[in-house]
Amino acid sequence: MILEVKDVYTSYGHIHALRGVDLVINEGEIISLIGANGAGKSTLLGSIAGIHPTRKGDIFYNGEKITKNRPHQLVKKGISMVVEGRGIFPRLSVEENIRIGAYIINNRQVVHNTMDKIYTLFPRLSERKHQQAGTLSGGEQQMLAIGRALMSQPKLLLLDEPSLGLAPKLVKIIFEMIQTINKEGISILLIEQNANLALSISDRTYVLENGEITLSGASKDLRHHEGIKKAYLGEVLDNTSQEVIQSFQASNL
Amino acid sequence: MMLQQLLNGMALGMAYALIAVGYTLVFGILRLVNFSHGAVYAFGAHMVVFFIGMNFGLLPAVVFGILLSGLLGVLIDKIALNPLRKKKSPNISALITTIGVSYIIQNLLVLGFGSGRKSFPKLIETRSIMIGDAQITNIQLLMLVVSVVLFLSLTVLVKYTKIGLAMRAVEQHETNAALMGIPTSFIISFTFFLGGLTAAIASVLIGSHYEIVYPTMGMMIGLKAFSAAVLGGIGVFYGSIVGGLLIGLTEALAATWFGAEYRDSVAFIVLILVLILRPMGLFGKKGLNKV
Ligand SMILES: Nc1ncnc2c1ncn2[C@@H]1O[C@H](COP(=O)(O)OP(=O)(O)O)[C@@H](O)[C@H]1O
Ligand SMILES: [Mg+2]
Repeated sequence: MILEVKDVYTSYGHIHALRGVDLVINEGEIISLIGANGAGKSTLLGSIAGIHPTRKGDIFYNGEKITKNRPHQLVKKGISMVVEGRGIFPRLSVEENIRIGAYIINNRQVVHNTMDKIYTLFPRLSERKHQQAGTLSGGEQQMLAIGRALMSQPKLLLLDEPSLGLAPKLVKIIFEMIQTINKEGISILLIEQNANLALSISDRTYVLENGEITLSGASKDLRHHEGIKKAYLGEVLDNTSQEVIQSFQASNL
Repeated sequence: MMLQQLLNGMALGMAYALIAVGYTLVFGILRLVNFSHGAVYAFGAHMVVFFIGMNFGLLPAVVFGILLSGLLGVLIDKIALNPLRKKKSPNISALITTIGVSYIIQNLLVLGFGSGRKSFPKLIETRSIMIGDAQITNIQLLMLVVSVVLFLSLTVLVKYTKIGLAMRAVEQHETNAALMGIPTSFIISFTFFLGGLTAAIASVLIGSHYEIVYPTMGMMIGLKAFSAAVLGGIGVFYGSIVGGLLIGLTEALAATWFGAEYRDSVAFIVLILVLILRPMGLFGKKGLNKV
């Protein structure tokens, strides 16, 4: 178990965004988290990453209690997060954004090698490394955000809606990237609005409603779950998404 | 005569710029005008006088005075401003707090040193250097050289070092910076440290030029430096330099043309005119509009 969330409550003043959430991530898993807008998904990721302090409950990382840790301490421990909306620094260059992802790493050689790896993974970033990050397209910004999050050499990667606002083709690229990253041994907790996509890429899925986990289980089982079908799998998909989903389902069965 | 005023204005202007850069550093990272900056400036000069009184010797006294002012900057942030940020108070509360802190520091200086003027020790034996018909003292020259060197170092620090990169990241988004593993509180403290440091360096230079210090010495010059920062576009480094030089030069010229009693108001007239024409200052970026 790389992460264990135990009975966590988080509030914003009088708004109770999380109400007793339990969640477990085993080493090497891709876990997806689905749920309607405002269900508390981002809050849960934020609580794990230390930016939304919990009011009650505990979070363990590799057995160590990390509930009260500050975000920068958690990065040092191996937890890296890509926020909703990407959170790149628009007035820094692409390369500076990537460099700052490696803030906790003091060995220059390691930084250099990791950077090379990121550029191989995302050649587009390499072509644009001297550009201001704010001038990148949405897809490129998402690549930058993910690449940057990998610079700290995390063991657990938290991704908040990486597909948001991207064309299906780019969603495909990003999701393949997520699988590649996972194959390198990085555990992943992924928020994804598209339940089909979420269920097809992940090992297990949690459903969050009004701050509570209402359903969880192996993703391949949940695909046939009546409640899920009704609530989340109703949407009509375009061809590319279908293709993506089918290819993931094939590889995950 | 003209050349003489230009030289005087430049030396003074660089000192303004040095103080202005302290406003710009803190504003850059917190979008907050730190009105305690002028009091830290006065504190620095007094500490140097104090350490010399304790027989520290000139150089150690100057070094200790400057370092202590840097620490005072950190202390102001830790004690008065950081708690406000933690409670997510509106920026205006922090602004008013810095004004309050400024008076507390000045009162403490009055308590410790008396409100009167004290003579500031000469850093070096004053000598005049002739440039054509005009003369410049070696202390004015020192002001110019130290300011230029300091500006270059700060630029290198912010542009090319890891901590500078972290400062720029925190400036753009504190939470996202923290998610990169940056200890943001430390980076903010470090920025306040630099602010205090530059204020004290300026006060040592200007103190040894006028050879006098007093608890409220930072009030007028702090306001002018703030004007210089706004004039150049607050938050922009080289804007502070241009703003400082512009105010220093106009002041020196105004003193010759209209008489010394007008020199203070001229700085502010220039500021108001520029702000009417360019609300963001000469080099200011759009969208920086918090307080
Ligand atoms: N910064 C905030 N201040 C106040 N309420 C918030 C804040 N962020 C989120 N909320 C509220 O908390 C609840 C959960 O939000 P969020 O975690 O962003 O949901 P999701 O990511 O699932 O869309 C919502 O009701 C939302 O309005
Ligand atoms: Mg969200």
